[in-house]
Amino acid sequence: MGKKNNLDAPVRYRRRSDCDERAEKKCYNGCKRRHDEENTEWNALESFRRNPTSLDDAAVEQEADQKNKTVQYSEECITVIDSAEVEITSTVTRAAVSLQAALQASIVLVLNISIGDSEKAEKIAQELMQKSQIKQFNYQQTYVKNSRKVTISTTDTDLAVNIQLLLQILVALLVNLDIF
Amino acid sequence: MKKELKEFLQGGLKQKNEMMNILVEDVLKKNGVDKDSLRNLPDSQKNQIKKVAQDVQRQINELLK
Repeated sequence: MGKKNNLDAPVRYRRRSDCDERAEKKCYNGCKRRHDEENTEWNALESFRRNPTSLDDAAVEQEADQKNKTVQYSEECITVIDSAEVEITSTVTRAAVSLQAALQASIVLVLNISIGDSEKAEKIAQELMQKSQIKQFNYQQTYVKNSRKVTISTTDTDLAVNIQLLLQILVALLVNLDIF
Repeated sequence: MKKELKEFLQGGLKQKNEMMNILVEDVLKKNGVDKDSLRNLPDSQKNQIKKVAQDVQRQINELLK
């Protein structure tokens, strides 16, 4: 048998365990639960409402590791819906990709000039750069929905690691080819 | 992680990586490139190459600003 909601019942006969949590308003006279607040979904666009997860006014920082690809494909998609005060800091992937290409070109150039045999230089460059290839494809999506005071910081870690490897190769080449 | 990468990349040209040295040395050796077979580059050309490397380093620093 279901529990009856008798709002006219005298307060002294009701106990905490009689409270109907699903009720939209007070389930009986004297119930101390704030049913009206509990059943209203928090809305980021209503500035008077406090974020249920916030402590004071501390900003929520969300960090997402943005994955990478090598040269072929890299895409980043950040969707912000029904939110306010969202700050996005994203590494410029396109710039990083061109930097990667510049590093690869420098490696080929150094080999070409030092060895004087473009075919051999190309072969060596391919072999060296193969070892620095991490991924060919990556797609990252970040969704922010119904949130306020959110800081998103994305770093293209894989791309950065790839650039690091290419730079190491370039430095090692300069040393081995007696340029440094 | 980001901070470490930044520090590493910004000091890239000053760093020596033994593992990468061995790898490059091995690949060069495998392809018949040794010190004797290298072209004797004039200092001006060596300086140009150094400038290219420094320019790449500068671009990395710009990106990480």
